[in-house]
Amino acid sequence: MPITTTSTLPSPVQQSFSYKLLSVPVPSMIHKIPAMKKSMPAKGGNTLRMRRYNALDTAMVPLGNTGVNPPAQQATAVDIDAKVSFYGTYVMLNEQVTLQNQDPVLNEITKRLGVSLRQTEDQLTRDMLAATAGFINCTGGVNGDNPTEITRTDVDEVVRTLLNNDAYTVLDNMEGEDKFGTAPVRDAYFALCSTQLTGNLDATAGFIHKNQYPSPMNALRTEWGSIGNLRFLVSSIGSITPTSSNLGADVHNIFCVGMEAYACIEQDQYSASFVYLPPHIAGGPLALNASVGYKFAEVPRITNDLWVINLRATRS
Amino acid sequence: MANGTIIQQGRFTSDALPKTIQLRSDVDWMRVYNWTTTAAGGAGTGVEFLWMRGMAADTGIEYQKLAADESMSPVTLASGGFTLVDTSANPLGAINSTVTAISTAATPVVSATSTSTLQNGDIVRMVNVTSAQQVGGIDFTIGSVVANTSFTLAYMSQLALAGTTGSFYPVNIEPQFYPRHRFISAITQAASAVVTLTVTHGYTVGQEVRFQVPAAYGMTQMDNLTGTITAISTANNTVTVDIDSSAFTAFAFPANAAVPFTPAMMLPVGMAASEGYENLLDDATENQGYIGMILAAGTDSPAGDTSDVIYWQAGKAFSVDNE
Repeated sequence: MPITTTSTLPSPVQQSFSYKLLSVPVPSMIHKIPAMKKSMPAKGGNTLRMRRYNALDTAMVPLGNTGVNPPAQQATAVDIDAKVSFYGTYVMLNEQVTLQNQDPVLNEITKRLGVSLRQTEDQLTRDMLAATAGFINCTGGVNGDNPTEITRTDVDEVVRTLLNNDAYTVLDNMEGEDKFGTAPVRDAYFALCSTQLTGNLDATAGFIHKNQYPSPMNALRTEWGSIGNLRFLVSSIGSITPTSSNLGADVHNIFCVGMEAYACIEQDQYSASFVYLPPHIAGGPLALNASVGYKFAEVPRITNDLWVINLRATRS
Repeated sequence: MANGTIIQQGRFTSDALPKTIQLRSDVDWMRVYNWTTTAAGGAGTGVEFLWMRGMAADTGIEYQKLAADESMSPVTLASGGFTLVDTSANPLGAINSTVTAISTAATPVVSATSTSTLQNGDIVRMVNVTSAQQVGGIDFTIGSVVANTSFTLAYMSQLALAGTTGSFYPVNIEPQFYPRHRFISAITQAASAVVTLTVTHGYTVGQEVRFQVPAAYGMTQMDNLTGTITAISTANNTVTVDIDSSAFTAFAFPANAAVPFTPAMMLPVGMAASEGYENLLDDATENQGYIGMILAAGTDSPAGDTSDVIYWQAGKAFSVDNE
């Protein structure tokens, strides 16, 4: 008895399209979290000037009873400048793509552009910190490199330095609670670093993973845990200076940040904008192509170099 | 701008050094004409150069003038050609592990059997030099390059102990954001301290800087002080600051055995808010990144020789189909 199978009678269309598009990897964008948001006015040039007055000396000696005026102090200040740059990118899309493709190409490209925009902002901030912030090398480790892997001694040193510099912590403490396996968490500075350091963080003395916080719901999604007065946010685009150790290993930059340490300055009337030009505008005489893109103007700037320290480490 | 057009063109006079031409729109092809050699160059001199997307870095096609009838003969350039550069990419060149020694001369001399394409003023990052571990991971501007023999760490202080074998990376690209922190190789004891930086610093008078001097360097009194730059020397790569260091402990670059340690650094803070500097914006944080093309210099290279007048065109293709 002859049986009709798919070999003799194949389906006329061999494939189905899954309209549920697959997830796209999107890195955690951690570098703007501790940043102050500032804007410079339109029609005000391209550079924002900020000013910080220097501290005055204390007056520890009694005035006495002579009625003679003591010497006056002179007020001084530092100007901190930031020059805005403009950024943008776009995709040119032939009309036949949207005509023939089953999935909503333009929608998906728009989403990807959104991620590109925010990731650009994040990486600009990251690269500014790596280029201009002062750093402390981890030296307490045993991997034989300079810097070494991170240790508790190194964490204590960077915290001590921030405290000595009168940097305010950014995050409040979490009180201890009567929950199994948890521990109280100190008020803390942010520490921003690469996901590649998670193993070394786990191995550092005094590390508390966020699932051991008394109230883990108060941890940020990107948070890995805390050591002393540092709470670590990790990202796959965390800062790495390639082959920069004594032995030629990659150096991981851990930006330890107090309050108001740096700012991201936007240009008024030029904040991030989405630009779509349909084929009849962007596509030439035959309206062949559309374009979709973004542009923005921004500059990140350290506003107090004492309150952000790059703790550099290699991996063990 | 329509794709497929010439996007930029220009002219410069060669100083026999590599020339970087910024092309933010990116580029798919570039053509360079040497006006000087076209007019007067002898046999075998390069008069026209071509690069197209897909060619390897530092390569290209050179059209040489022939002796007999001044017709042109194309040759491929294995090196000394065009290099596309994007400053947001990896800043380092290939590791060079041919270091055989670092001397104890006043200006340390690095002996290396291959100096590759290094030129005076380039930056290198030293790696794992036996007996001179203290220079590992630190960037240095170099000078006095003797091809495939040696170069100097132009602004480094004298080493107490000679280094032996090791490696270096050429640092092709500086970090995009200015002003950059810099490593310190020396600080004088003076009424106005003079600070030597290991890499060409780029600072200007009036900028406020902070010093980070760990205990390993001796001059701990300088640590965390801020000062205003009152003078600079491009020849010595120094800045003079209004800090009296005459009574400070002497500054000494750590020895080999001190590793690991944190390098002494000068950090950009801002601009001194005082008369004379009020209208200067030299400290402004700025992204100096670019996309562009580096033209190698030399008789048979696109950036030409001293005083050659060079014309160039750069263009974009509508599409690039490199199989």
